[in-house]
Amino acid sequence: MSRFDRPSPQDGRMAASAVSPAHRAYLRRRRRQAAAVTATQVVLLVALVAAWELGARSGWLNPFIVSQPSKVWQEIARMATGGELWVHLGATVSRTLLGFGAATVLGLLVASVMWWFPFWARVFDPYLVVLNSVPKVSLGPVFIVWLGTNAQAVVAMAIAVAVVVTIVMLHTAFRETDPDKVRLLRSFGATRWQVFAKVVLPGAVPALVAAVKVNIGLAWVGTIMGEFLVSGTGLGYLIIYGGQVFNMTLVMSSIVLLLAVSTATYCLVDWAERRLFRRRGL
Amino acid sequence: MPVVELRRVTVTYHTQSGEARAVQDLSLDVEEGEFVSLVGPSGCGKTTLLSLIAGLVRPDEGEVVVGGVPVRGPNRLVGYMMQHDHLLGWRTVLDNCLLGLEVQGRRTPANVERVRGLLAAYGLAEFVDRFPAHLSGGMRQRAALVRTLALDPQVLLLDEPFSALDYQTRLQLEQEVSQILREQRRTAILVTHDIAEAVSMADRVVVLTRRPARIKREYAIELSPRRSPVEVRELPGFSRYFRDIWRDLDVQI
Repeated sequence: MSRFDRPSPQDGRMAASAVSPAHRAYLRRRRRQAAAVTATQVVLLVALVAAWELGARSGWLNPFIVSQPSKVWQEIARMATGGELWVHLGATVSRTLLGFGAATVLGLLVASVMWWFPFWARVFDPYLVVLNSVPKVSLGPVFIVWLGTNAQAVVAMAIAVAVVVTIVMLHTAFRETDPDKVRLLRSFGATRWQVFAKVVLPGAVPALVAAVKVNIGLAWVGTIMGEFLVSGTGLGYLIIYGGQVFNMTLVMSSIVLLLAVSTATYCLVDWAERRLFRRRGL
Repeated sequence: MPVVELRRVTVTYHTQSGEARAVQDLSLDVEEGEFVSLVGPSGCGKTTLLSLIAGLVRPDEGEVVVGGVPVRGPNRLVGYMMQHDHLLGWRTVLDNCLLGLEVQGRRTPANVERVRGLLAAYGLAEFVDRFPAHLSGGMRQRAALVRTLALDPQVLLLDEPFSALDYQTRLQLEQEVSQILREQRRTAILVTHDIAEAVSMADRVVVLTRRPARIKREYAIELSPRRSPVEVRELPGFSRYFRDIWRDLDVQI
């Protein structure tokens, strides 16, 4: 390395052993702030749950309408020991993942075809705008009539909700590929396929990750909506059924379970993203 | 026989708002081993000339010949280096430098070793397996140079490759590149805004007119014996070339 080079990004930092007292104080302040945020979050959660429980017990809240945490906990434990918890949970999670996977793959395929054939991309553009705007839940009855009142209709719903956004996001990313990078590849004599495989597609990975993050949420929306409409299993079914028979404990329990699993899937995607980008020094 | 020949080339670009003639009836020969600088007002069509030689743009009239063969598309005799390094962030430095070879189906173990050797020779040995985000601007552009040289081109097209660098790094790289090219006796065509850079690196400076590009004047740079670009700037003849070219460009501020 010549001495004329700009220092690499690491060079500005001092070694960890040579930390000044001022810097140590700064680090301590940062840590204390982070700890305060976490502590407040926990306190807030505990306070809410406690207020809910105490309110229901003291008669200040009507437990028939709002249920109460201890009953929710008992209900979940009962479903778990009875085994039905796993049936419903498994049904919803598998439908969501199936819808999510299919929507991602399908979206990627359609976006790729649109990049390959710009003519057809222009042709399809207004159709995509319409499809993107229509509330997908309105298609529910169509799926039921076409596919029957079964899991397929639920998965179709999940795909319908997630796929259009995926197409739009990925196609936009493909189109925004730096034209000079394409020129570089072409100067090597690259074919259109090589340009796609070596620059356009890998360059769209951040957009793909963003789409995947949006998709996992949308797949949940689609699946629960689908289960509201047709299913005899799944958390969505439990929520709608509980509401119909005024069993708010069942409704709240299902919502709590849904919060847990949907957050878990999002965290999984987020973790995968960070793993993917850490290595590149970004 | 010249290795690059432009024969009465005309290029016109068409856009919605109209058409623009980028190059008009331009002829230029570049001899083997020669270093030619092209200077001209911004937007005068310099990059178009390089695109023509690289086979990325076809002339509307006239002919482009490289190595005695008319250019029909991108070809392996020519290596193109751009203003920005365009290293791909998801590939290591080595994989970036192998990109051209990979595209041409020549990523052989022997070639990989050769590219490793080039990286080591240009001070990037310890960054071979790092990602571009870890490199400084000068190192990135040096990696881009290795990526171009990896294809072993007879003719190098340099499209303002130093303009995005800070001044010291620029001088350093100018020096290195001109040394490499002279040692290996490669032909090079440099497009630049920087008159000092054009004069200090080249055997010949071609001054282009405002768009559409035509040749306004040529200067054979005789500051021999050949020295490094930094030393050349010290020579008494240097400032005369600089002044004359400055006047040709008729810069209006």
